[in-house]
Formats: sequence, C-alpha cells, structure tokens
Amino acid sequence: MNEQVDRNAPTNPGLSRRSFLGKVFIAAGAVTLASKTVAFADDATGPDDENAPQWAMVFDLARCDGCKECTRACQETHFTGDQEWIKVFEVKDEAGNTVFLPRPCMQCENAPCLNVCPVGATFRNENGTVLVDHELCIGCRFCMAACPYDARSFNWGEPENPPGATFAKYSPEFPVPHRKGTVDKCMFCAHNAMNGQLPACASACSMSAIWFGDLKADIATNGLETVQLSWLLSERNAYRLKEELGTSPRVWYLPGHGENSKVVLPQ
Amino acid sequence: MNATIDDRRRRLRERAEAPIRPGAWGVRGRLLVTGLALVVGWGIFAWIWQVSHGLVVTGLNNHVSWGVYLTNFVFFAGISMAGTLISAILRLTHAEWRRPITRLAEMITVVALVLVASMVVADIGRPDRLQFVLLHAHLRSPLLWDFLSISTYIAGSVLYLYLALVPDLAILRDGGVGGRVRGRLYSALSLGWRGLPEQRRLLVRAIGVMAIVIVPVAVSVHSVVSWIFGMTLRSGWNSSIFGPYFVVGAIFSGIAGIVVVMAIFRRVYHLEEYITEKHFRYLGSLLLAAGIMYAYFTLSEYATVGYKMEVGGASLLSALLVGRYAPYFWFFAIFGTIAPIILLALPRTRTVKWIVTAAVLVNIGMWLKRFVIVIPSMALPLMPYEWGTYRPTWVEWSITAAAFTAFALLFMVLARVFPVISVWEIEEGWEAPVAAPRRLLPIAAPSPRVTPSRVKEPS
Amino acid sequence: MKRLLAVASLGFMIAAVGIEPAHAGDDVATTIVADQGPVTVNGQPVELRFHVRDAAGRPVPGALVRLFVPVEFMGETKNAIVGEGTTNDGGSAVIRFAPAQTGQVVGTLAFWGSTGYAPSEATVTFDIQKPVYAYDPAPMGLQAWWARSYLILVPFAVIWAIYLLLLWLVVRVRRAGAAASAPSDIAATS
Repeated sequence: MNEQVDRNAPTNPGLSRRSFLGKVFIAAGAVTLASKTVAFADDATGPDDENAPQWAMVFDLARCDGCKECTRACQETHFTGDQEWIKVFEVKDEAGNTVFLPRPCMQCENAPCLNVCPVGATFRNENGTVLVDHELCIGCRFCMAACPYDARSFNWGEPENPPGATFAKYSPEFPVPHRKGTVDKCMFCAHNAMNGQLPACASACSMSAIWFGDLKADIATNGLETVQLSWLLSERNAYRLKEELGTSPRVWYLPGHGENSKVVLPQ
Repeated sequence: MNATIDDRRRRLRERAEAPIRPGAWGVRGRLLVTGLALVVGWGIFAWIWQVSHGLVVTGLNNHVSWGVYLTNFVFFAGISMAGTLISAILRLTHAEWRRPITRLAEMITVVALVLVASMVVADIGRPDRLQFVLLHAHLRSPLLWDFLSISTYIAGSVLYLYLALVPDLAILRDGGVGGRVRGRLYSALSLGWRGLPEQRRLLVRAIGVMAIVIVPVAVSVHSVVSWIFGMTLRSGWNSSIFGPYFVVGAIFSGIAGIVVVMAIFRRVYHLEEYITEKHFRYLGSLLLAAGIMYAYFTLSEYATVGYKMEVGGASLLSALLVGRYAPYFWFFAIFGTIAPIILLALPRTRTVKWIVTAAVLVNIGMWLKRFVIVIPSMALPLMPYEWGTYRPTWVEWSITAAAFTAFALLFMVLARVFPVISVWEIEEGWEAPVAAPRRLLPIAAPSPRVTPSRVKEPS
Repeated sequence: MKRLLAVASLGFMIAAVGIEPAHAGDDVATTIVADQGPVTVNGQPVELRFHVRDAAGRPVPGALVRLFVPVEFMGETKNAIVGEGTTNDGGSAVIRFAPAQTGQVVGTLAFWGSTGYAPSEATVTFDIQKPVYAYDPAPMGLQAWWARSYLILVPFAVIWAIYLLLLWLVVRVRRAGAAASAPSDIAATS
C-alpha cells in the first residue's frame, strides 16, 4: 500500500510511462467506442451468415387482377392505417394492354435509401431485406427523396396504432407501433420470414400471383407451387422496374401479355 | 494634417459607435424590434404547434415530402456565401475597397448560418433525435456531410468574425462605450488588445490563415448542400453539375444579399461616408459577373436536358418551362436574372438605387429558383400516379416569415453590440495606403503608428 | 375458400391450355424414359433428354413434362419445378436443369397426362458436384479499396486542427497583452 503511494509520486519517471500507456489505452478505447457508434457502413452488403436466405419477390402480372387484397392484408397485418406499403397501380404495357402493377419495397441491393440516411436508421439485415430502425430515424425524409420507386410512407401525424399495435413489441422486422415523425415501408414481412411464413400479401393473393423466394437457394413459392426461381424468371422473361438506374431491385415482374411487353412507367 | 486625421477618425468612431450607445434605438427602433420579435415569436409558436401535432400540419405529403423549409434552407445557405466572398477573397486579393463592408459581410454569414440550422430543425420529423446525427453518424449520407460542412463553416465564420473584431472591441473597451454589461463583454473578448506589434503580428497571421481556410470550407458547404439533391436519382436533380451550380448560385445570391444589407445599414446608420457609391458599383460588377455565370449554368443545365428530351427529364422540363411551374421559373429567369444583369450592365442604371433594386430582384428570383429546384422534382410522379401537389400551410409560411424576420432581428441585435463597420481596418487603410506587398499571405504591413487604444478623444 | 378458388382457377387454366386431368381407365398408360442414367452436374447446366411413350411403345407428342426436385424451403421439404418441356412429334423433349443445390438429388419427371393418355412419372438421379447457379448480390457503391466513406473526415479534421491552432494564437495574443500591461502601467509611449 505504501509502496503504491510512493509509486504514484509525480516525480517518479517510471510512472510517466505507465500513465502514458494508460492514456493510450483510454484513447484506444475511445476510438473503438467511436467506431462502434459511427456507422461507416462501407461493407453494407454481404450477410454475416453465408447461408442466410436472400429474399426476393416475383409478381405474375398475367394473374394479377388488381383486387388489392395484398394491400389490404398488409395494412391489416401492420396496422398501417391509410399507408399503402404495397400499392397496386393500373398501367399500360408496351403493347397497350392494361396491366395491374403491385409495387412493394424493392429491397434494392444497391439501395439509394440506405446510402442517404444520415443516422443509418435504414439498414440491411442478413437476409438482404432493407429495414428501418424506428428508434434511430430522425424523420429527415432523405430516403423518401432518394427512392426511385416512391416506396416509402411517412408518419406525418400521430399514427393510429389501434390496441393491437400499441401493445406490440417493437422491432424493425415488425415495425409496430408506428411512431410520429418516422418513415415506414414494406419489409418483405421479415417477421413472417423469420418463422418460415409467407408475407401477408403473398398469402392473401387470391390469384396466387405473388411468389416469394430465396435467391440463394434459388427457390420460390406462391403458396401453392414451388419452383426454381431462376428457371421461373428466365422462362417467363421476368424483368425489374427501372433497371437502368442500377438499384438492382429484388422484385421481378412476369409480363402480363406475351413475352416482351413490359409495363410503361410515366416520365 | 494631424487634425484632419484625428477629425476623420473621430467621425468614424462616432458613426461606428452610434448604434451601440444606450438609447440608440429610440422609440421607432424599439417599436420595430418589438414588431420583429412578435413575428419571430409567432414563428416559434407555429414550430411548437408543428412539433406537437407532427408535420401533418404542413402541406407536405408522401409525394412532395420536401417543401418550403428545404427551399429556405438552400436560400439561406446561399446568402451565407457573402461573408467569405467579400471578407476572405477580397482580403486575399488586397482589394482595399473591402474595408468598410467586411464586418457586415461576416455578420451576414453568421446570421444566415444560424437560420440555415434552424430551417433544418424546422424540417426534421423528430427534432428530439437531432443528436443522433452526431452519435450515429452514417458517413455515406450527404446530409451527414452537410452537418460536418456547415458546422465547420459556422465555427470558422464565428472565429473569423471574432478575430477581425478584436481590435474594434478594444476600441470600444477603451472608449467606455455601451455601459457596464457590454463593457465587461468587450474587456473579456478583446484579449487585452493594446495594438502591440506582437499582438498585431499574431492577429494578422491568424486572420490571414483563416481567410485562406474559409474559402474551401464555404465551397464545400454549397457543394454538399447541392449533393443532397444531386446524389439522388430523381430527374431534375440527377445532374453532375449541381456542385458548381449551387456554388455559383450562392455567390450570386450572397453578393445580392450583402448589397441589400449594405444599403439598409448605410441608410439607417448614416454610413454614407464609408460605404460609398463606389462600393455599390464594385459589388454591382461582381454581381453582374456572378449573374452571367449563373445564367450560363442554368442555360447549360436546361439546354442539355431539353435537347435530348430523354425519358427522365422531358416531362419535368416541360412542366418547368411551359407547364405548371412556368410562372415561377420565368419570373426567376426574367426578373430575377436577366433584368438585374441588364440593370447592372447599362451605365445609366449603375447607380445605388438601381443596383439595390437589382439585388432585391436577384434575391426574390433566387428564392423562387430554389423553390423550382426542390418542389417540381418531388412532385414529378415516379410511378403511375398523378403529379403531386403541394400547398404550404400557415405553419410553413409563419416559420418562413419568422426566419426572414429573425435575420433582420439578429442583425439589429448584433449591431447593438458590435460595430457594423470595421473601424481598425478602415483606419489601417488610411495609414498604410496602396503599397501592397507581393506576398501570398494577405493583410497590409503592420503600421506602428496605428495604436487604436492610445488615441484620446473627447466623448 | 381462397385456396379452393385458386385451385379451381388453376384447373380451369390447365383445361384451357388443353391438358386435362386423365380419366382413369379411359387412357392409354404411358411411360417416360430418360435417355441417360444418373446425371452428373459439374458447374454446367445439364440437358435431360427423355421420351414419352405409350404402352405400345409409340411416341406421345405434345406431352408437357415437368422436372421436380425436392428442396428445403422455409422449413419444409417441397417438390419444386425446376424445368419443363413439351414433347415433339417424335415424343422426345429436352429439359435444361441448372441446379443450385449440391449433393445427390433424386428428381422426378412428371407427365400430367393429356387427352387419351394417362399420367406417368420417372425418377432421375442427379449427382451435383458443383452447382451451376450461385447467387451474387450486386455491390453497393463504387468497389475500390480507396473509396471509403470515412475519408471525408480527413479534410474536416485538418480544418478543425487549423481552428485549434488559431485559437492558440488567440491565447498568445491575450498573453502578449497581459505581459505588456503587467509590469508597467498603461504607458504613454507613442
């Protein structure tokens, strides 16, 4: 004890090295702490688990009849109120036929929304699904400006949150209850996928037009049939929306009428 | 000779100290300040209303999710360029005529940046979480770069303003101006300035370094503000010239801003002897040059889109030039850019009155131009639905009005505490005339005869 | 209820295309014969040739045959369609298979039957040593070792360091002033 007191005398040169080392350790600890809080997120792709399923969706536009059961099921499951996380549009394809186009969040692999979030509230989980951490979101709406598919909705006022929502346990996979001033979007029903279930929209589709699949295992199902995903896409000439933007979305569309009639988007 | 110099100096200090003396405001001044404060208070109330009810009280919606707040944000960021341009660049180029207006310019930058920050706070959906930008910084985001850049610029501008203020604070301290509270402030902030050669040397070097450093910081601010839009894939924003475009736009609106503020302060505080017609004409020439450059950038942006009429840009361009946003665009183009260019170019209209008119037109035009940059690209449908609509509500207009009013109010308060013209720099300009040394580092050579605190004056 | 409707509509579509569920007893029995035995897959897609013949050995034209392969998906084992082909007039067809899984896989060639023909199946064994399909996600952003987002902190760190240096100069200005006035009073030197 006395020795230690002696050692702590400021004139002892041996102490200066120890205090220097101590400062170095503190600095290293500070840097490590800082690196944990500051999200560099340069390696945003690549799941931690190499075999984690990489979810994708395929919409068969030949079967979609525009009934919007998918929209309603999603709204009921997630208590979204008026927000439509999967929207069904009525468009014309290249041949002039009317086609119904359901549009969920595209879960882009090169997601513009993920890049622009200033606090990293938009992140990608191990399944490649883009999720929002509503405990981080500051409501700047940069992601909404950046999304080329207009897939996000904002909670402009106090969200409705019926009792089923208010008492739910929040997680980014099941973002309920909703919070005022944060952004919401489709998350491929990550809460269902974790338990081996299809997304609400895919289950609800009466035409079995929505396929949910795993790009890694190359399998997709619409609830009735199971197919090899790559075969389905090549066989039916699947395409993605706004391919030229380089977002690499994980949602494919099977043409409605014939082989080469893609939908025509405005602009 | 001495009498003339002392006379000149006395007049200068009287003029500079007049707004700071107790009772300087008078009845009209107090009424004005009260009125301005009421408007600002109403804006703060509107913001509190917005925070409690959510952004639903604005006209924003899922299609047009950015509106007037972002327009104001970019506008004030543009105005803030004034300080750097006048103060730093003119200092670096040894332009002697800058001396009476550097203080105003530096103040404009600081006040504008305060408003820039307040506009960000006004637009955020969760202002209670703003600290996350610091704690959970995501470095890939242009908004984060914005935070870094603007905070660096605010710190730099305040430091720059302060450094250039120190000798003037010493003058005020020694003259016993401003009463007890402000007197103590001056004593504390003036760093024991006595005009000693050592102090001068250090201060001159500090100001010189700051003048160099602040220029790239200012350029970075406007570049990252532009990249909030330029790094997205929306048509109208997806342009590679947005960085330089916004920088030139900031120079343009910044100079116009300082012309307007200069005109107001010159009139209100009777500074005609120091801020002369020459200053307006020189700034008018700079404004003309900036206007021509901005017109060129605008032309380049829209002509390249219009020539190709690619799928992405075609309908937006039509909406801008001939469609629903045409009135705003053409007001900006004709009254906000072409008319001022003509006014500033013709010899007949190169008078104070017309130059100030041109500057006012430029400012209005540039606010509309920022509106035309932000809103149409948001309203343009990305999927098969109709064009979005945006109608700002009373909340947004109140906060906008409060922001502009706060600009004036903050200036009035600043003028009450700090002299709006840089006394020591003007005196320095009298003492050490034109022989500017050919060195990279700026500032005229220190003159041992300038000892601001030693001159005794009757008061 | 919805599933019933879905199955019914599926059945309707099948009927519309022309393949009807066979009626037992009415139709000729068929066999599917794959041209080769166990197939080895080594990183390249394989083409599976097969014939559909009836009991008399005559070719069955226009027969839609699907290749099913058992897969594990979402916690269940299912039979996934991995390819399909329709026989030509000679009763033969080719199905291309580009597997994503590895190992020994027993696939089933299934013919649903058509007018006058009964359904039939055949098994095919695949020995997949190296799968064909491998998923490669698109990269996010510029893929260069020097394209790191934290590099943006470098210029700002330099600028803030310069600010600190300038504040140090300010301190020195203050000290110079204090030093000058400490020993002697306000001198009237000029």
